[in-house]
Amino acid sequence: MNNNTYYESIIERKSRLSVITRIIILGLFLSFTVFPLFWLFLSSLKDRLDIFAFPPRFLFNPTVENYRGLFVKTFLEGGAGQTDFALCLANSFITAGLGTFFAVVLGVMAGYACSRFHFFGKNDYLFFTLSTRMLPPVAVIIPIYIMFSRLGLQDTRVGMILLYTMANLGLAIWIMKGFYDSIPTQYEEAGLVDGYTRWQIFWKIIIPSVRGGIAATMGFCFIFAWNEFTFASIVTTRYAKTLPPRIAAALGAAGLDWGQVAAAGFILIIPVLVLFIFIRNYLLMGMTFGVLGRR
Amino acid sequence: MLELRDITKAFGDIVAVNHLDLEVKKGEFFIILGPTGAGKTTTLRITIGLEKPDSGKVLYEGQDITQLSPPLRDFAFMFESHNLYPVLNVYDNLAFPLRSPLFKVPESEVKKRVEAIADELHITHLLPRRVSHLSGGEQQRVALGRALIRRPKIYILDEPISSLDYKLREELQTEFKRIHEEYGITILSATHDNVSAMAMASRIGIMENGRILQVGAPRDIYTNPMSVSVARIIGAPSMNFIDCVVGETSLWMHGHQEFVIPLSPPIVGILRRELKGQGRILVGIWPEDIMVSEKIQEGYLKALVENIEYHGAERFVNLALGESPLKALLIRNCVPKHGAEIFVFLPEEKLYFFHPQNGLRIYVQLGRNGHYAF
Repeated sequence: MNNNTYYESIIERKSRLSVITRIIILGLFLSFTVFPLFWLFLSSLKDRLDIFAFPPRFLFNPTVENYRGLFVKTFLEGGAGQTDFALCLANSFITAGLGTFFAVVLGVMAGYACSRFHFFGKNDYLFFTLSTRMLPPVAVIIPIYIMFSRLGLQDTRVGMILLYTMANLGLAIWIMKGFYDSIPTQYEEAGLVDGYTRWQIFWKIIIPSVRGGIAATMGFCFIFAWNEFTFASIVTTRYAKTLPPRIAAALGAAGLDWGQVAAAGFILIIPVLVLFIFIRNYLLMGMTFGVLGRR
Repeated sequence: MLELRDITKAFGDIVAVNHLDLEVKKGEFFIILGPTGAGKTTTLRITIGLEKPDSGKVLYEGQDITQLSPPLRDFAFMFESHNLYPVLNVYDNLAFPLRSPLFKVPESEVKKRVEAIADELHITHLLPRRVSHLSGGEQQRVALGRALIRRPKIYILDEPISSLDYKLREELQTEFKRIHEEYGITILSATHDNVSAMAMASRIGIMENGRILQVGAPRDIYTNPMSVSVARIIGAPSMNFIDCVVGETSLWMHGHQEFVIPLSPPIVGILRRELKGQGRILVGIWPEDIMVSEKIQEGYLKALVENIEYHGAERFVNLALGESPLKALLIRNCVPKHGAEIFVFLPEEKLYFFHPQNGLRIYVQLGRNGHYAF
């Protein structure tokens, strides 16, 4: 056999094999990740009959009744008027948004301090901030509940914002510290020699250099706060209730209305999805604490 | 103009700079030359004010500036790397020092200065580009531009060109020398690369283990190294060192009484006096001072050819003289073969003698002060 055709046949066989394996692996992966989302979306557009139809229907008459039902009270729930879904949606945005904002602002500063300065008890402090993330929420929920009710923070947005700021701060500090660590200290020193103060260099150079890290931190914090269920379901009851406990509670009033649950679920994931699309490149850097690169 | 007086700096147990004294004169291109870890960068950082010395003083024109913060010293510093900000483009990087609160100039003046320096360094076409898209040589030019754009009292450069490949190094070497001469500026630099140090410096300070061993014009240090360490650091290729024994009336290689290096009686006398009798001695000779012959001649020693190195126009031959490796510059028409016998002559007036213990020079020729030491 000619040598050339020998190699060609091997290469061809190899490439065909690898393409097939790739398709299979990717297909499996997508069926676990994307398909549930897709099914959720389809279900939210189905009426009761279509949802429970077997075999499952991919073609049906779509309806927005489920989405309408989330916001407007049905006859069974006591007739006209709005449900509290809009309020919960707003609460979720406000508490997750501001909780993320404060955690990131504080994390950006504290992370810099932890990366650049030596101070007493630094390592213990760093460990302590991260340890807030190690405990499962149910372990600390009782003391927090008591604390909140004594302070009058129970079922308030301020309380939830504080809670999410605290819960996210440790992570924010750690991710940001990783990004700062990957920036050479010569950046500051060069600026210092050129007549800038450390504060000015921090704003002009360091912050723009870690904007990817800030985006990643924001993403992580927001997703955590947005999805958080345990704290919200215990600490909030009515005025500050966020979406996750609201959706869980919806499984009741009029029996299991899977159509509405699907619609609510889909509304819940939209912000996370949009966020992911914008910052997906930075998220990976965040997970590796800035080790993979920073620009 | 700039003076470091008895500077010591330790990091934990490691003494980076050890009672160092140094003076840089106005308009000078002073280069600290030493191996990695000698304390060069620490010395520069102390000078610029990024480190505080444990003891000692930094003086500028007689004034003590040891406690002054870096911006107030008004020096420029070019780091070994990371001098440039990837978040800014080339123009803004160059303009950065001119926009600082301390050295602020009007934006029209910034534009003029940036364009002038870009023109000077042939980087005008790079101005709108991002720093991370530049090649190593281009980045180094921009970094140099950023250091040169202000008119500070002194320019301090840490390994300005040693990270570059040979061609670019040569090119920038010329550039540095030209700018130094044209602008009449004072430069303090540090490098481990003795070729570029020899090429650029008006004076060199040889540094090792946190100390300055010898200071002088490049050629002076080369022809008159005061210790084995200095001779090791300054030359490329390095000086040959031969372990010898001083006898009653002559000098021979240690372990090879048949390899006698002929010396005149007064020199043997000095060596015997310095060594307090007979004893071991380290003899050094530059590769270009060894005379090589393919035929045996009076006073020549027999050696074996190991291989030949080509350094541009020059060829060096690696020899084995007994157990001693020896490197010699070949003259044009000499083409020895691998494994062949070859004959070398070590002229007495080209030999350097060093104490075997402390490595210090034993002066038998023209001494440091221009007097004959014997």
